Amino acid sequence: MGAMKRLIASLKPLYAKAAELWRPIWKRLKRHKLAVAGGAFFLFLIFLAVFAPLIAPHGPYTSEIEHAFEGPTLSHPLGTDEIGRDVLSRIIFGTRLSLAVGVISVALALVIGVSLGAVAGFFGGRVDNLIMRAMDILLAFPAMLLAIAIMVVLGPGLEKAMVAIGIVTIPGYARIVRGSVLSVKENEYIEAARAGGLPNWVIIWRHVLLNIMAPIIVRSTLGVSEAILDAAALGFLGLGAQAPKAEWGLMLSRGKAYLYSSPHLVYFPGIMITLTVLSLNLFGDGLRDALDPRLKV
Amino acid sequence: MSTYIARRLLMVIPVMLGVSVVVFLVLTITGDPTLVILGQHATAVQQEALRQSLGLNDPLWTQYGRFLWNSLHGDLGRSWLTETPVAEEVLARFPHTVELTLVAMIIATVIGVIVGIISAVRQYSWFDHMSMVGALIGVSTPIFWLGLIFISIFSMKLGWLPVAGRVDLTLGFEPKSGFYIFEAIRLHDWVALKDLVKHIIMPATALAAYSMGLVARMTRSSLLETIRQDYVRTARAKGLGERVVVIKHALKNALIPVITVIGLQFGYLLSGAVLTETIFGWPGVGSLAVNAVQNADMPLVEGCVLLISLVFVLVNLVVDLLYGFVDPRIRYS
Repeated sequence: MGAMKRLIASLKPLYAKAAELWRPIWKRLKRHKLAVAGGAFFLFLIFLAVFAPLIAPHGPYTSEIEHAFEGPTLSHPLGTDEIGRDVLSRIIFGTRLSLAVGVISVALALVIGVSLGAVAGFFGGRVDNLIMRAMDILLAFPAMLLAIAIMVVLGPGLEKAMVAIGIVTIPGYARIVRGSVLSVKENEYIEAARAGGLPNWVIIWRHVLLNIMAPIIVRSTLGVSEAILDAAALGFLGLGAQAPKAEWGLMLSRGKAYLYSSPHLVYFPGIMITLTVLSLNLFGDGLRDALDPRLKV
Repeated sequence: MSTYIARRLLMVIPVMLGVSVVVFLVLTITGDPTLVILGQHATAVQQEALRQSLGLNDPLWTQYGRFLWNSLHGDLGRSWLTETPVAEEVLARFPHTVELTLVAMIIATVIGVIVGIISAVRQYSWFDHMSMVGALIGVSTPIFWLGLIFISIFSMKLGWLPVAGRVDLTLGFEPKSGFYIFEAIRLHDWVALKDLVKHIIMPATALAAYSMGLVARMTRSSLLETIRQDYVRTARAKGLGERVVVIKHALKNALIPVITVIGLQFGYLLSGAVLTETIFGWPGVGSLAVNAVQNADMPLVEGCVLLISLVFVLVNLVVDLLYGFVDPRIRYS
């Protein structure tokens, strides 16, 4: 009990320090209107995902076959699909799937990719060579092809798509982090830290990684949006989420057969993907400006 | 530098070996192909005989050795479905993908870099705002959706462009290679060229949208970062004109990250080609790969992946070398 209290007490100044660090960033971020709009829309999506059953006017799988292929009406604001399911409700439920894919696959790629990139860039030499050649093997496959190949092994499914997308995006993070580390580590303050006898992991963590946080954070915000796009693409190719799941890419893929007669089946899920990805991109952009005040005039 | 180039060239070998191992494992893990080849009603005896003749009962490393040996001799096996040699089929499709990717790459790079420069120089102008919103929409839109929207608008509603395909077959255009646009120019066949452009413009633009947006954003932010550096201030203080400062001093350094992005875009474009080709019925390696996956035709999948990866590795190599060329500060030890 006493140990716990001591631990909490020792963490307090850390929290205060973090708050102090983030306050000016938050202040700058608030001034960036597009970023706020993007962040707000993303919060709205999270809200939709959490309360989907309460918000959606119909069930995602409720089919009224007599109302199939209807354009937008009062009871079905975005129309109905080929077996009379409400498109709006399916889109609302689809938020859950897309957000989950985005966050989980990026978390996976981030943890592995940043560690590998930092170690490779900092130590250089044989370690660098080994890690980056392994990354090269992964990077030697165009992302979507590798994701498809992994999906062929794992079998179709949304959970497997998360893993596939996560694996495929690891080298991207590793490369960016390594590149940033390479440029940061030539700075005098790193030499000073070395001369001061700090252990390597402290230098990497406190002096290198914290200084390249901006590109990492911006990269991961964009990464979430890319993961959502990739998952939709896999769903579109029939390798990701499987019918009857209300996944946006899958809805597009089913709708494309009726592109001529019922284009709303293609328009709306696509608009939703674009808006989701756009909001994340706007937020990431604003975050980037807020994190790097040197860029602000 | 030349030792670096030589070493970097040699490194392609282990990378491609790694790629071949991954591809081989994917092929092996996916299970027993005999049912795919023989059909659902095959007897156990037939299956066993086929397994024996395909060498599937050999130990893994023997199978990999054979796979590697054959691949190096240009023998990628035969398609399980059509029984045609995989290498032949993939190579026949390849020029179509190259042409599509190159056109998309040119669209993305030229427009992206120019828009990025103007946006950075005129930061916060209406051009900057408009083009950055455009770039954001470009990087946010799913390629396959954009393709479908293009078809819905320009083909179905307006009737300006063909829905899909490579060239109008009634033109009787019969080029010797798959590089149709190149061939049309070489043969001075302007009618065919016009038709080819009509066919390629939608898929290439849909494919380029993401990269174009990314290149524009990257150029802008990188140039903005460079413009605020001390040496640029020095150049300005010397009394140099703004144009000289931007183009001669800032742009050179600003383009370093942009080149990496463009290099990485090649892989993205090849990936995107998988989707674009599927939507636009483009006879390239991408649509071939998707069909092969859907038919579980593993030798064909593997052939497509191997070839595309080889090309991609070579492009990466060139990008790496360019990187050292444009930024001499980077040490190759």
